[in-house]
Amino acid sequence: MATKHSDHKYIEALLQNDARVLSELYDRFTPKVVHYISKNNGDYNDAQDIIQESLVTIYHQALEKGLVLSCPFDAYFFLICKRKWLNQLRKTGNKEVTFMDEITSISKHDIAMAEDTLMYEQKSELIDKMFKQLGAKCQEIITTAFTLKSMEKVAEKLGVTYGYARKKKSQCIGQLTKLVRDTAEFKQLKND
Amino acid sequence: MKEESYIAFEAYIQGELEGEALVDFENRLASDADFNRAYLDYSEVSQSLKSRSTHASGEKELRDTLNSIRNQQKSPKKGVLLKMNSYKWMAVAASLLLLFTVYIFSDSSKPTYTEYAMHEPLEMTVRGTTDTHTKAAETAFNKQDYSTAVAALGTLLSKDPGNVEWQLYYGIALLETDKIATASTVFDAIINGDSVYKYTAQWYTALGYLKTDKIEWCKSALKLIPKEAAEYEKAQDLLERL
Repeated sequence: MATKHSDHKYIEALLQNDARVLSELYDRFTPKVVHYISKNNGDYNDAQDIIQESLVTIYHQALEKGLVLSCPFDAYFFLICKRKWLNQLRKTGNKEVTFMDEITSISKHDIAMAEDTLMYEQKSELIDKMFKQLGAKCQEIITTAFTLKSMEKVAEKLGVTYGYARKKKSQCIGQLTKLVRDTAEFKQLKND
Repeated sequence: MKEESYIAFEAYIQGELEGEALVDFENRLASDADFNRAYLDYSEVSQSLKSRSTHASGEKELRDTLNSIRNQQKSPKKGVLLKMNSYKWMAVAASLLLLFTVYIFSDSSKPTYTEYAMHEPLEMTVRGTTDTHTKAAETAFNKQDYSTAVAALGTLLSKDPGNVEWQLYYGIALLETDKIATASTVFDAIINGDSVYKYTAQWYTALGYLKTDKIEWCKSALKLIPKEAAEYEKAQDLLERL
């Protein structure tokens, strides 16, 4: 079991929506990211977008996977933002990147933690992307099933029998799982 | 996977399997690797969908907070007008004084590159060798003849590329001759190293941004100068004025 680093308070702040600690997080850790991105074909607003998306990913990972930060937030957060920015540049076909690192001491452990978060994000994005390829009926039943409290209510809302709603839900999640498993990205994620 | 498997996965996740059905299911998970893999993937997808859906409103609230912090970061501090109370005359006088102060303050508060661009003289010859190139570089720099200094320091650096002091002054001379991009590459190299000039280079990076009116970038660069650095105080001073 990894030991909790004192910087885990920033993860807590994301979960608790604690504006005071989050402001401190911005003051301490974001100038570096802004500086890096503005040196690499981006501007202040690009950097702020990347910062926010990274924090939201960490928030979801903490909720869904119980993320425990066992390294300093500094290097961990910078690595996530940096990778996200490089991915974005690659997507927009922007090649000119100066690989400048702001942090001189990055441990293997910091990298591993950042990789975990990035992998979590890639999986979530993949599921989201494949979800959109499901048929309209499947999308509807999945969305309804995870919004309403009980399958009885889902059946009622969709005007189908309880048995049918249950069966359909598992079939549709199964279908989505298959779509995800069949992608090249998924195979790559498993091999990493 | 067959449909029945998905139905069993779902029933297991919901905790609806009991007795023999539960034992059978768990035995199969333990003995059939493909079945186990398929179950894990199914449960991961299901968990992800559930988590995103359950926490959608929490995400929205978090984004609201992050947006407001982001906006606070961007907007510079503004003068605050005090509320008037019953002491009308005093209040009027105070307001006038305040307005006047704000006027004076704002007039003098636009920091410029030139105000902050005070360079330590280059003093290489006092320490050791006094060859002609070093002498030329030093004289040119200290006379503020920066284009000559750029050339002279460039020559010196081609012989000794690792000399961080020369790098720094080369960067400053480039900055003065408006070769901002090249200057910032030179400063970057110093910032990424571990020399005593690390934060001086950071400071000059910020000044480069100030010179080109990239105020937000300038602020970010200034914030990277730590308390222990000699440049900390002037960095804070400049930050406050921006």
